[in-house]
Amino acid sequence: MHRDVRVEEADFDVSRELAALRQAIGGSAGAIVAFCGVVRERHDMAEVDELFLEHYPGMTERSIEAILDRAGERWNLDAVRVLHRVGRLAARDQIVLVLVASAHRTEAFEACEFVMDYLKTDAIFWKRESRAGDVHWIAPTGADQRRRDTWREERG
Amino acid sequence: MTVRVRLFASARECAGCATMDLALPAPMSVGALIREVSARGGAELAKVLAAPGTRVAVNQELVEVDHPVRDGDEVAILPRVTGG
Repeated sequence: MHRDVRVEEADFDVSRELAALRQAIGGSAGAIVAFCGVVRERHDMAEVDELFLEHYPGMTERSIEAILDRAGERWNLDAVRVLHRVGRLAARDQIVLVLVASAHRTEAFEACEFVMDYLKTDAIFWKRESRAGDVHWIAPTGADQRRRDTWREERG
Repeated sequence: MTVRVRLFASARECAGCATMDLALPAPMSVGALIREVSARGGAELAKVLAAPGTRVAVNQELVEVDHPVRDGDEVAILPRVTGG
């Protein structure tokens, strides 16, 4: 399984990353699934002025690689690639890209969801939200934990 | 021994610094090191260190409080992660 993780401040171009992935894999992959996470602009309350993402260089990448390895053990995948941004982000900015390639779409869809569910709980990032003058570090949500835990019940 | 302590997120903000280079007596456990950092860093930092979900990594590997710290180690204080 081709596995690639990048954590960086620069924005990414989904088309370019997809093309690079297709270049890296053979012709056996009939399905490529892409997930892009974006900073939401919320109109029900004060807008998010800024989202700051902090990471531990080296350890963060390895925490993501460990998740990708688990996905590779569970599904037959040709490639998984994760690009995760850090630093200061604004509403509507891209945050994360997950690309999964496999022979068939069932594995690609499931593995992509698995990777995102584990990224939300296990990846080593801290997020600080600034909203209308209030600044606070975001705690993990119970919903994300429960969603990750459903994979342990062999949902996939 | 000399140990570099790295602080992240709320721990970093409470301590007012991202790193602390400490001269400490050997041997010392991770738990004892945390108490040392807690004592030096003030009440707010102590709260973060004691909070559920706060973890410690030595040379980028997660460890328990009884893990021995060695000269030259990088000890990272990791508050509960938000996730990606």
